[in-house]
Amino acid sequence: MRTLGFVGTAKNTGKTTTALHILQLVSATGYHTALTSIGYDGENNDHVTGLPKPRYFAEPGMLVATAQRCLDYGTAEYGRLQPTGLRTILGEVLIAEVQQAGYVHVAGPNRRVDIERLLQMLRGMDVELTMLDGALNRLAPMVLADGMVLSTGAAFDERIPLIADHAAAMESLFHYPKIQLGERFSPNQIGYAPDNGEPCQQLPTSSMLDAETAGIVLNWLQSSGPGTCVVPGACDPGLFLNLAQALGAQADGYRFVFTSPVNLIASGSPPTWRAAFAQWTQAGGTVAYTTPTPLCFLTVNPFYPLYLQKTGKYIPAFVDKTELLAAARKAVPNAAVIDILQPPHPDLLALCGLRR
Amino acid sequence: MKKVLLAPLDPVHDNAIKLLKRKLSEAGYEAVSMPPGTAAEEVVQRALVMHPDAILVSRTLGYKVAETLSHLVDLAEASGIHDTTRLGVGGMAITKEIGAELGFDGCFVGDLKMAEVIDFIENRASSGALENSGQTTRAKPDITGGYSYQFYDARIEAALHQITDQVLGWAANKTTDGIERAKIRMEMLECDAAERDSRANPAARQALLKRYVALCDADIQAFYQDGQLPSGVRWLGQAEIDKVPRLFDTPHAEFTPLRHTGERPLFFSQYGTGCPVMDVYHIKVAEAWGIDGVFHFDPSWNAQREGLLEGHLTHEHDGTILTLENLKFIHHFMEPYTLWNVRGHRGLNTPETQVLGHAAGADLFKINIPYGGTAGGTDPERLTVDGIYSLMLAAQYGIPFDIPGNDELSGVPPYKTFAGLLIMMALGLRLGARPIPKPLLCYSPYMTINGRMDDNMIDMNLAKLAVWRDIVDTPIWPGEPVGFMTHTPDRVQSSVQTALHATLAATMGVDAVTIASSDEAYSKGPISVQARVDTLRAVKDELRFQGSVKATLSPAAELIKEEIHEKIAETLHQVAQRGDFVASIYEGLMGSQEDGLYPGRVGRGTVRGLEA
Repeated sequence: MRTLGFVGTAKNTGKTTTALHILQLVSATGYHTALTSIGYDGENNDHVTGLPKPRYFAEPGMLVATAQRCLDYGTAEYGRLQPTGLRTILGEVLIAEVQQAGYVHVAGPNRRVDIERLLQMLRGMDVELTMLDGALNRLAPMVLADGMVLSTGAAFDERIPLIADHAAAMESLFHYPKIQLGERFSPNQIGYAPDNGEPCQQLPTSSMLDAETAGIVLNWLQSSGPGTCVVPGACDPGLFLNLAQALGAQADGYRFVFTSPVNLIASGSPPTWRAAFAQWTQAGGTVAYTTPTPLCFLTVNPFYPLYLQKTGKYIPAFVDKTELLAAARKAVPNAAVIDILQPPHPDLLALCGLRR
Repeated sequence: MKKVLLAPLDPVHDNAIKLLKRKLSEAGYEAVSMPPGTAAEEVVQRALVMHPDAILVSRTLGYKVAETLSHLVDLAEASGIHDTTRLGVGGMAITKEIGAELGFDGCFVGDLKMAEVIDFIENRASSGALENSGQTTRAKPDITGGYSYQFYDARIEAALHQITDQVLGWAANKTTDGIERAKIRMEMLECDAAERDSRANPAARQALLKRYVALCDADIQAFYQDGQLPSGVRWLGQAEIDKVPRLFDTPHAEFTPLRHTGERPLFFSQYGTGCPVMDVYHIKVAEAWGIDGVFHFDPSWNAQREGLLEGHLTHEHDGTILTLENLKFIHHFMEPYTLWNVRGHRGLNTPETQVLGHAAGADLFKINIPYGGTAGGTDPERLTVDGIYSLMLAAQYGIPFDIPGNDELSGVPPYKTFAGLLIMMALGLRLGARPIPKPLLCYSPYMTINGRMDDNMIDMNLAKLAVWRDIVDTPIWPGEPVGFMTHTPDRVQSSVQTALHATLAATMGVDAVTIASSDEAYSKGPISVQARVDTLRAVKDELRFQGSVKATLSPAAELIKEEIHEKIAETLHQVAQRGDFVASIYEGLMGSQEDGLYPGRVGRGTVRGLEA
């Protein structure tokens, strides 16, 4: 089974539109497909802006993993309900087979540990493709996906150069290689294994989010010489940049290992990460991931909700779609960048590894 | 001891966090709070050190705030603490759907409910509040439950016994076109059911319709025979009907009661805009703002013609046309816990209204012969026969009926109105139905002319409620609506009066209260949704202000109560002595022409004997 994740940089950046497009392409291939979401999708209007939203439309035979309460909404008819034992705010997640096509409301598990259990169940049901929809700017659970589609656009920021640069910074984080860690490292603790054979040092935390933790790590690096430092949880990119600067040009032979690029994006600003890694790699340091989720392609969306002070309401607004697409493509030369509503597109199924 | 980390994630406000910290500490938890302006990174860092069982976040929602909240969730996920620590969120505009979208495990909607919070920390699903919405867990309240209907005043009980014997004996062998139409309608409903079961017999239904139409007035016959619609009536378009389901094809707001404490009183409001689609909107708004039940109001001409129409019909004046299709359409969109009253307390179609109401899923009926048989209503003789048949239907269907005391609005003193309500109660109980009297809290002509409320409106109204407790063990439901004739076109004034009357009734421990919208008396057309919300909000805040405070009667109110009680007994004695209930209405024993009440004329001379 292949799991494809759809994530965005903010609300209204086009995750669902992109996922719907892929769903249409996939339905022609005959994949046995399941749909779930780490958030909540299916409402007519955005909770915050009140503006219309695209809705998931499911064809017969498709599986939907969603909270029990959501089965009462939408227009699809379901059968063969299967409990999962996974709980959400909206009730237990059920796996339901669509029997009559219609709109669906999807709210699946949102924790990585729960999504992992769900994916295991779907595998057991001979599902060939699971589409995992993101929510807002959340993407940490996507570490479980085999590939990821990233959506950005004017809803993230109305300044086209900034959107393009931010997209490029994110995309740059997907270029580092995979590494297999030895048993010296605990999966939930920051650890440092010097190359000189000294014992591995560890901290009782998974994440580097404060100056004190960063100071301890820097001290390890400076006192024990080159080696491998693993940060399995979150990491503040500003602290990492400070650490890289403190080490100066003496990073040759030092490796930092993170779980996934999605952990880094979840931890802080991608441009700061890009600057930090530039500093680090120029000084000879290297970066690797234990789970380097591949980025299939990027989408850009010119739409944004414009707030009118006078009426207290949001109205739909757009930046120049041609300019946005061109700017993003220029800034991100190493990945496919598309606007779903501006065809032609490259072979998206092939980009997602779904071409039979 | 379980540990809870509290974070406002707000640059300034942390009142909710402080309140939670106090209450959680009192409940035995180790509650650690972070100051306003704390960043998501700081919260997660603290959690990595503290290993709390739960992190609770309080934040008002606005654009881009969602991203701030979801960043916290993402960071918690990336750091691994979400594997063992549950994340909860509460605050203005937060709903369960938003909580799910943001990635939280728990969501606290509306006012702080500590039981919900504690269940969340303990990872218990037992409260239902975390995983189930109010709409699925709230049971439909039973207003009459727990009441014995035992009479405490032997004089009154004896008089009612005598009156009831007389009325039922008198009506035993009588019928009307209204009753016969109701019987035909029941057969037609059976035909319709057979049709759905593929045992259609169109000829049988057609024959029934022919018999039905023969018992109708000319303009109703014209509808069935020639397709002519009454003035101001049109068919509801299919596009209008089809549009409504889509509007409500989304998660519904959870039920948040108007009440601040306790389970009573229940609050009711009427709809009857003329258009079933508009009615649905009004009901949904009222439900969203905490109403417990709604009334179907039909047009006055509906009550003055023999026969009812069929189909989805809309009407350009007040009152929504009573057809099975309209009723079912409206009922379909109500939340499962909303109580629904289809009134049939007056008019020439009273028995059939009960039949249709039952078929459409009504929870309550409204039947009052002395009120419906006066003040421009139906002829008392006709309504007595129809009303008794309707009470039998209410008993057969197991549907309680309420008895509005709105004849006070014509100038009838409360004791005469209450005597009529008691007679209706006794009749209903004798026939096996469950009555609910509705003393009206109002500034009626009797009060103004006789100066009974010159000083205040509290003593009289409290006395009007308290007297019932001295007479019989019954549910009490002030209406209809409370504050009648205190309202002006000023919506603020109108809302205040409604709220004061409603909460005064609440202090007396009543079971239900009917409230108006703030423009109900002066809307000059369908009431507006805004005006409906006015009074719902006003009542809610007044109830919050008042809490569980209970009223005690002043010496002046005690005297009024005794006076009303004594005069009720006198009135019932007179009616019993008269030995003719219908004549008592004609002769004004329960409201005279001098009081301002005139017997109804519609349907006079239409009662006939049952064929042997």
